[in-house]
Amino acid sequence: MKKKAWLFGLLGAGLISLVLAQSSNAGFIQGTRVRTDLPSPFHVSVSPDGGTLFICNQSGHSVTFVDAKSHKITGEVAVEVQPEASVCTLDGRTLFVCNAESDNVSVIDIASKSVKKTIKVGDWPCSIKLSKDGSKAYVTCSGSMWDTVDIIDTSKQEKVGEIKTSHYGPRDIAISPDGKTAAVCLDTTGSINRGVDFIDLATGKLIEHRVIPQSANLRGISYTPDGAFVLVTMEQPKNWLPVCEAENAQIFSNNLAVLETKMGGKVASMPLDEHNNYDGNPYGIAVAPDGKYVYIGIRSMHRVTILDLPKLLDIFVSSTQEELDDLKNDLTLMVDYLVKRVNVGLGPSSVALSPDGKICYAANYFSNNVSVISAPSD
Amino acid sequence: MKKILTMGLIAALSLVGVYASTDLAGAGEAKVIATIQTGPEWEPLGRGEPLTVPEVHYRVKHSPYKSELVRYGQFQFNEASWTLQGEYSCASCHYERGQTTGLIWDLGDEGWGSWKNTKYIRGGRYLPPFRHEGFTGHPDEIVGATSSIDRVCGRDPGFVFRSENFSPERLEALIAYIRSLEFTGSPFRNEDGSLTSAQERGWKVFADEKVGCIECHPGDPANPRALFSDAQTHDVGTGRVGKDGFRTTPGAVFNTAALAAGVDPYGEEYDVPIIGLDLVKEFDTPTLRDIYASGTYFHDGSAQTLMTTIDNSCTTKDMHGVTSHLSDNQLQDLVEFMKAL
Repeated sequence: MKKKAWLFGLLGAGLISLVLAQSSNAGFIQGTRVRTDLPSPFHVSVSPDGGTLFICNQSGHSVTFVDAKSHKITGEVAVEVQPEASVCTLDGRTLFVCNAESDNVSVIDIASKSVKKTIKVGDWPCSIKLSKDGSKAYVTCSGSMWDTVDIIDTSKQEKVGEIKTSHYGPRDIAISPDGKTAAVCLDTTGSINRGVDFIDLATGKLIEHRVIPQSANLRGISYTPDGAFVLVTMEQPKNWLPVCEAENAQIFSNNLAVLETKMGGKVASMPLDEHNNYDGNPYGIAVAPDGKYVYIGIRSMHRVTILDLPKLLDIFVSSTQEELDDLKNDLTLMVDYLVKRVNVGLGPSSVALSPDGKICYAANYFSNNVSVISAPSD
Repeated sequence: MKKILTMGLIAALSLVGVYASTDLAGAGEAKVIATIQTGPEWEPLGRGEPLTVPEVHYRVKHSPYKSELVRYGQFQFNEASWTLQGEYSCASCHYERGQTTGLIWDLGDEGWGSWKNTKYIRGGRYLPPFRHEGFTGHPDEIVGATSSIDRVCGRDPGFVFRSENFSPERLEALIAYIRSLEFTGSPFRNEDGSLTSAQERGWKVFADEKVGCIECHPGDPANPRALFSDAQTHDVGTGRVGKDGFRTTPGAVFNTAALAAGVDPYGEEYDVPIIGLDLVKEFDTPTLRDIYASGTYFHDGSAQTLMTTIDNSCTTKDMHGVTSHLSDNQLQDLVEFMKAL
């Protein structure tokens, strides 16, 4: 009996690998797979009632459903190639999943755990957020030569339009608390001064493009709950000097960009690094609903860094733009607003908060798990 | 029966005790309170492990397969603790997808003062050599070699990539991952993979012998295996050698200022050259596959867009293809064609 099971297993594996080989031979059509057998959770999102976690498995090409209370896996749904983000509708019934390499969005019926539809979007969709009323989903298409945020009608479940960004590579999008504006971070290949587009959602028109000087690898963006600031995780490459002349060996430094949302407002790159303790590759970001804490997944140092947002903003507000420009390499500054660095699994790429902000979830790419972190309490 | 009940009670109480004690231990402090395992457990070797353990990658948990070597390499590619203070990983320049940030760096690999473009490393295994000058990375050298990566990413010993601390096995894993990265394929073709009409027109210009693109970038767009590179080095009018060679790239900002201030670029008071010069004028012909994703272009990143690679604005006239007689529309078609590769 055991032998038979093995035989069936082997046959099954053979068939699956044949199918995979077929699709990877598709020539110029996108769909190259990452060659690993492991699921690699890349993104975590939470249902509006906080009851379910949706985990996008970037190399497993699936979404895992987890019960947030019991921490038990309740299902897994296969999607297309390389899912990198998901969002649940406000009624909790539907999940939209961005399949980055397939250039489409899977629509999953949560009750039956099945894919109902696939919507074609632009190149490399890697983030998706809902409008405030939940009627639309905005998909950032971050391809190296792509410049759209595609709009999906969540009830019709089809693409109804697109917003042109000012440069290539829209990587992540945040919707302002009043629902009127979107902030899109543009990770434009080749640019040393990447930035943020502020977009009027009613018209889809660009209000302002704000440059974050000397920035690269903009990966996550979030509004503060009062809508006055936008926060962006970024790296600062010091490539204008030969690397042997970089001060404090700062070939790169890792920062959190803070942008005032008012027109022409201040921009700062607040350090996440301390001497001999750098936050290599900051990725996902989440802001507590009460505005007290910011959570950042530090992918290459395997921890979640928690910042005290009011203290951080105090420094920002009380400094002039000139002073802020000097702060971005100050390795002594971080202690002023650091709450804690929490070691998690390997490669935390995305963080998400429970609706009450008391629990932070981090999707750990390499260790194939999700860390559940209790929020600091006063 | 009584015994069982008592034991159960003790067990239950002790469990409550454990739960209560962990809960109270750090009240108020953020901490990991649970870990939800959603896939197989996976751990690389700890840093305390000896660096020269033979077959180190086979000791990774659950690793009976060769693909585990790739996975371990991917982990190292995204691991910052090997850099000086944990400030960056390979993925900081080459992205987590093996692409490129498109920024130029002076890594000192041929003397300080020579900024080089970050290479797009998807599909890189098909086309050694790996450096812009074509010095490094003979196929024999890249496989299992301990030295090729630190020579690619900086001078030896590497300023950027500290591979002198790596065991040969760790390097092998890293190389296995880099070699596993495939081209992504263009999103700009028709749904069925055929060329659009603009791309067809561009292909005709590309294949025109008078224009000469295809001479160094041979390939057929209908062939998914075509690489569009002759794997040779050529002088296409981008090398900046000699006193006239002041750069057009961000390095130039410093050079011009120094020049304006009356500094002799070859003066002895500077122990590093302050002008960006290339040692050679000939550079490795890059593949055109995924060229839409691999900007900026040329060895020094001087071409920000595909158009500027062919419109003579960044090169000596008609050295990078004979294009000065082409109309704007033809140049645009050529760009559309390149985007389809």
